[in-house]
Amino acid sequence: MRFFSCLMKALRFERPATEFELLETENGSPSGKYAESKGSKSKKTTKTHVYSRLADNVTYINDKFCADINKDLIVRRFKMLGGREGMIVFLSGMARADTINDFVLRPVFRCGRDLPEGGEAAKFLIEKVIDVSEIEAEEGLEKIAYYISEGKTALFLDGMHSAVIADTRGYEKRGVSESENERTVFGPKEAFNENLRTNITLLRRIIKASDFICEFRETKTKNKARAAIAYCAEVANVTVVNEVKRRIAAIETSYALDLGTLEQLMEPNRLMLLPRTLMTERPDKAASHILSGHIAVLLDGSPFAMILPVTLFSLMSSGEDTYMTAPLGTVLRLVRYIGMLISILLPGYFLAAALYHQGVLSSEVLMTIISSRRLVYVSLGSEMIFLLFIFHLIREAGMRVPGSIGQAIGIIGGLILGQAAVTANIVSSVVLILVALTGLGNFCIPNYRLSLTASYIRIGAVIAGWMAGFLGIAAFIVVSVAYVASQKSYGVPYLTPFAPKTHSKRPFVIRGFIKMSNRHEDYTNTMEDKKL
Amino acid sequence: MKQVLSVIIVIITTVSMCGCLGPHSPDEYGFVLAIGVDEGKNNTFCISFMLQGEPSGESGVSEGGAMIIATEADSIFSAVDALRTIYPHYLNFSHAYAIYVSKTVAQSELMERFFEFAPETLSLRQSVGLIVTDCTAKEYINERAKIKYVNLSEIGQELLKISNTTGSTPVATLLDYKAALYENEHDAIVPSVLIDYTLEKNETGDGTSGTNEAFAQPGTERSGSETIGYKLISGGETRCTVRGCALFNNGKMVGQLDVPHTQALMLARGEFRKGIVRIIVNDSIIELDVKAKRRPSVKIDMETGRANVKIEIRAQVITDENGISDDDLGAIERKFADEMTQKLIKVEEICLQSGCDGMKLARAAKKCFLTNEEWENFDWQNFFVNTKTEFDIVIELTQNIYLRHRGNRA
Amino acid sequence: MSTQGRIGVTEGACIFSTALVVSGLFGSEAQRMYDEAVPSYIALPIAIIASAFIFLLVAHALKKSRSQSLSELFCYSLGNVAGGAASLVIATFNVLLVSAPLMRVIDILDSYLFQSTFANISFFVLPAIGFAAWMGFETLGRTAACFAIVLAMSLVAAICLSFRGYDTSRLYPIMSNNTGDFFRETGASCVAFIPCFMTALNMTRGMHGIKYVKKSALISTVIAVLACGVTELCISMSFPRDMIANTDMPLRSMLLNVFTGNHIMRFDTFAIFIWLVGAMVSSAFYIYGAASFYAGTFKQKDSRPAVLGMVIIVMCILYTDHLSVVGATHMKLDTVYRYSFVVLIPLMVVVAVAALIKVGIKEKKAS
Repeated sequence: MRFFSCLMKALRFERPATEFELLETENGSPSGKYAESKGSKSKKTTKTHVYSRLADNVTYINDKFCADINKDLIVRRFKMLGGREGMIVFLSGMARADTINDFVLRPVFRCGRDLPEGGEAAKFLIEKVIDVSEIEAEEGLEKIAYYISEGKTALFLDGMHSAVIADTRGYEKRGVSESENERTVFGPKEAFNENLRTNITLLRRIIKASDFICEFRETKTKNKARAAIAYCAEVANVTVVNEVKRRIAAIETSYALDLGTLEQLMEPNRLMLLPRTLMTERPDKAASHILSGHIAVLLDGSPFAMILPVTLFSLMSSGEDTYMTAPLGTVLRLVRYIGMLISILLPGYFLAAALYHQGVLSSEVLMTIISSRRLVYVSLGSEMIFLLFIFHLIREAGMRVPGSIGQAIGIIGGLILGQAAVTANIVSSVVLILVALTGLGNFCIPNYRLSLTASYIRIGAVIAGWMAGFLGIAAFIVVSVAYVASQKSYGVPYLTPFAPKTHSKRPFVIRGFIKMSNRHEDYTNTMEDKKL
Repeated sequence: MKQVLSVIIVIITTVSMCGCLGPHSPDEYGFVLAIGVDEGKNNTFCISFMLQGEPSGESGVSEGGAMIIATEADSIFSAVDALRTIYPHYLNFSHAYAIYVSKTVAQSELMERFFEFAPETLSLRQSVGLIVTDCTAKEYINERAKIKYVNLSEIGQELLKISNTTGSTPVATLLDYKAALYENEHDAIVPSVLIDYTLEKNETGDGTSGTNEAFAQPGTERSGSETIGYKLISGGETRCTVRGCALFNNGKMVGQLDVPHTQALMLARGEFRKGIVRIIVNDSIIELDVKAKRRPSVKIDMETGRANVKIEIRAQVITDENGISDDDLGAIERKFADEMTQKLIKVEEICLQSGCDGMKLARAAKKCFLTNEEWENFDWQNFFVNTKTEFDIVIELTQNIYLRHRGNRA
Repeated sequence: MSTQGRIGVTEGACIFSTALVVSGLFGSEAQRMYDEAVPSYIALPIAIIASAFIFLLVAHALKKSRSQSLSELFCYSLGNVAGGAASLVIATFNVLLVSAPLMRVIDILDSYLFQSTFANISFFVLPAIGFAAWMGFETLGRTAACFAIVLAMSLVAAICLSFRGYDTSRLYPIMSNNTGDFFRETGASCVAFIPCFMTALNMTRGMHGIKYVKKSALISTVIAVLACGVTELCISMSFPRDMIANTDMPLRSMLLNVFTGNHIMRFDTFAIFIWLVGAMVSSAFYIYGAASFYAGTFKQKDSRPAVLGMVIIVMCILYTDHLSVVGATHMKLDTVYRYSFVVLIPLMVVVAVAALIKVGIKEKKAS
């Protein structure tokens, strides 16, 4: 009965009303329903202001940070010359003690008699006393607590209605290192790290444009993860920017530690098989996309940038293509696409041909298959699936084991296991070679998430070929292509500019000449296109 | 989520109701390379199948050659069923390259009866070659199966190579034969082969193939100035020889031509690409490298029954550095044209006697009719036997001077 | 109406030309043409052009009457009840046009390529078609754009590979036995093409307006005329007429005749499955079209439930027609094709003319 009611519900086809569409004519303000951000169910909180009595502020801060058990919190009370009481609050390890001592405490102590009374004190301190480059006054206690969590120092004075927030961040962080997952022969080697400020700096070093904007947004998560939305204001489509902001504002969850989590929270369709964004750890790649009209989202604590919107062709391109000449870049891309097709279709094609359509194979190949399978006791389909599974095992094991041992496992697993399996008549040599070719084709896909998707799709192709030969493969291809064609990344169809065809004459498989790259990709309806 | 799950469950249930579509591992098949059709007892057929031999080692090379199985049956389907008891594999015809039909079967109604089946039902391609054997088809297939080490799939290309390089035999497929049955044209010709047992007598005692002149030059057998047959290039291990072509009318074999006349007929049909023709001029044998310049033009006058076949040939005489004078070239050209004309007249005579429209006059005649009904009501067979064909041969003869290599002086 | 998404001229041309070419090569009764000695390489292109003229007439009426879709035009011209019935007639033809090419292709697969039953094979094909149709017009257009080049290349490859077997003498005699046969077969062939054009007119919302629908349809017409004409010409040159009339799929037989002694040239197996993919895309388009006509008639917001229903109807038709082929029943599809053009063509002309007359009367009253 329950299944029946689920089926009835399923067949009612209630499409969600809030599916985002990037219309061709829409490159300005978003349409009515997106004008206000829906879905934000934030409770109305009363804003707590800084108390004029210092003791009340102390109580609030201690309660907020659970100071009795949270020993990281340092509340340093002092009395200035002139008898006025004050305190600084900071988190040990997050704030740099030297900066606090030299540029906050010492100047404050010295200025005691000159300090004006009441609310003017904050202004005086900011303008004339504290020697820190980033400093502001803040009245809201919630905000002050957040700044303290960030590593800033809050200065309270008795009788002052606001606190002075000084940027004294000095926590330990990883430096700018080489990219581990996106290696290229030519091109820059820098990679993002976990610090948002550093990442933005890396982008600004490349994009020295005055219209390069980094808007900060805080997610409504417990860890108050701070995200930066980076785009070029004169190029990027405002509709997409606003849509990104709307989706970030709609997030309400306990925590979002990484961009992967953030991406899934931003995406309305949770069952997506294909990646809707491009995750990159290379600043040059992110910068080139931003300059082309895309938007990059960075998250504090994540060493990646999330580029959107993307298409299948942008996921298949690598930075290396751009740094080579056009013919070489074209060959690289073609090899990549052929590798992807081999990775997805070769096992299924082999099963279909060997089990159903022997006429397409020449007699030499058939005899080779027969002789190699002479003593193998499992069926061809089972053998193929078994080997594909082993391939995945070896790959996962190689990734989990650190350093050079991981590489060795791949080699050992491939060579020794494979040879042993053939000798033990568990698998045949022909199928082993095919699976190895498939694996190589899989590694040609530059995007890790896309290569995982290809691995899963391949299983479907194998089962389709096993069950119904080329008929199954044909049906599988139609279903797969229809599925991919129906996907959209932030309003942009996944197969753009092939289907739908756009006005841009920029080639997407063949690498065009560099002068053609001056035109922005027109599928995001950039502001440049509007002008043109 | 539930919606998607229920849709997925419905799709999986539907697809799994289909089951698999009858997959079979390649080792469950026996791959048929050639089919032999002979006359059996009591108006049946004796059908032989040449199968790809089982690979003996890991290399996959068919070191065991081919395997022959045969049975008597009413049709090829009955034969397949009957053989299942002795040969426990499914017979797969997707790699078959030839059907050998013995002359006795080709000359009787059995031929048309055998080929009533639709080849696609056995996964047999319509491009499978059709060949008439002077001996029994089973003997011929046994002779072919003696090949020990060879890429068996290349066997099917041998006749094609001979046809393309020498023009001494046509390439006829099953479709050509069946199409001729449908049309009111009767112009099918089929390669004719046999086993030349005379070659055995010239072998040395140990059976090696070094001393026999025919074996010394695989591919060519000569008798005087005429080329009798072309030995199939099989590493010198068999005595299979091409003997020309067989003429068909209404599905039955009605005549046979030897190699020189087959060459002439193929020139007239436009199926000759290139080949070597030998003529005797002033008591010396001249070899001409002949190529057809374009397809022959065939015209027929439906009122008088007179047909004209215009053939344009490009020929080269290979000479030494002395060359040949223009007068001699002219003599060669005239002699060649005369000989070719004589051959074509002889071919026409044989075709008229047998009723086989070897020169495809009917195809030219069709162009004179406006509607299909008129053509179908026209009695072509009676008209054809009273036609008179004139041959117009245009030869472009050149000489190709071959310079002998001079070795280093001591 | 349902949110059908939007596509451009390129995708529209791809989906329409796929549907037209598949209908022309596999859905029309070309075998009967050969039986009647009608030159199919002349009749089919003329049928496509005639259908295009009818399309232009109806498109003109659509534009003048400011209707947003063909269903609305039917209601405008004939009234709600008759208009709804006319929509359902077109939906029926769409469903038949799904069945005809699928029937032929699945028969080939069932008879020659698989050791299985007809139902088993159709169970693999129909869910994929249903899925593609369910995803909507936008997805269909893009899917067709992905496969259009492959289909075109497969046709070109089939024609080029079979080059050696062509003999121009097989084209003679050119004329059929009488002119009446020629016009009757041409008219009957229009049934294979008119529903595609009418479905295109029902998708004006999905193509940014009638102007782009017309552009796509005209491009598709040119492509279909070339593809069908050249392919039928090559088939006519490869086999005798009587042989083609008795062959299930002459295009495939043409490829089976390719012999270069080389295994690589065996393209026929790949070709039949590429054409199956084309038939699946075209079928999905027709099913979606039928569902949209149905939804338009009954004022449904979403046409997707109707897609499932149409798929089941197609399955029943396929199985019934298969039973008739194997002799189990006497119901045959070609009876519908033989005479239904006397209903379809006048219906379209009447609808267009009625709409134009109504518009003319309104304009006169207004002035």
